[in-house]
Amino acid sequence: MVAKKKKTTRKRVAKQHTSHKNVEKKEIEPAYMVQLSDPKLVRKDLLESLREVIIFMQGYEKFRRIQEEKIALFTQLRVEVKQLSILVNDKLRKYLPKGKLRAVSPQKKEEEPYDSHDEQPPFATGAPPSVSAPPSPQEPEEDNLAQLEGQLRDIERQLQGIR
Amino acid sequence: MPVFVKIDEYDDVLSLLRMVRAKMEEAKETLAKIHDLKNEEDHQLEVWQNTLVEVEKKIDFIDHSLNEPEHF
Repeated sequence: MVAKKKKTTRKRVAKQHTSHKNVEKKEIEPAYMVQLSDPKLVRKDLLESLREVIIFMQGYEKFRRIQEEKIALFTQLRVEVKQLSILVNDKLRKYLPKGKLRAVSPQKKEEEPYDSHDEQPPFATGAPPSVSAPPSPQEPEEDNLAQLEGQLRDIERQLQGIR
Repeated sequence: MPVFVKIDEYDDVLSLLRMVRAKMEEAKETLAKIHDLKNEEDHQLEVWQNTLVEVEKKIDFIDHSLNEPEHF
């Protein structure tokens, strides 16, 4: 019985040699398998991870849109603040007196009564502070910053004078 | 210390102040929109953080399953 079985196996191997060489190679190599403890759960987790990665990528698109919108709003805000600066610095200031405001104590006021009919208000006769014009959009960013710093210094100096 | 403004320019000053106020409102609205967008951005970042944590957990489980197969 055993001898017969051996024969049959040999025949099969020989047949395979002649017909499918590739298949034979695969059969010769031992195929090791690993049994996963919970294949359904692994498959489920894998698919869910994939789904979440895709959702993540969709979120990136949304994030980019938000950022673009934010940049546009920043630009708009910058324009609005510049317009405000022009309104306050150029137009409104035109109506208000220039020069340093000198603090007048009530005692001094009694000593030197102010003539209310006089058109000129009692401001210091010194040279008016040099307030530079608002920066033009063509100027580079550094010049703008320098001008703004200069304006800030002037304003602080005037405020100190008032105090 | 009083500040004097010519009466003929007083109306101009008032209208100018109205313009300034309107512009201020516009700037405030824009800033509020930026704030909303920032909140939206923060929310999105939080969602991303949670997603990454979830994915990491799942990958850990898969890794664990592959590295420690069932024994016979």
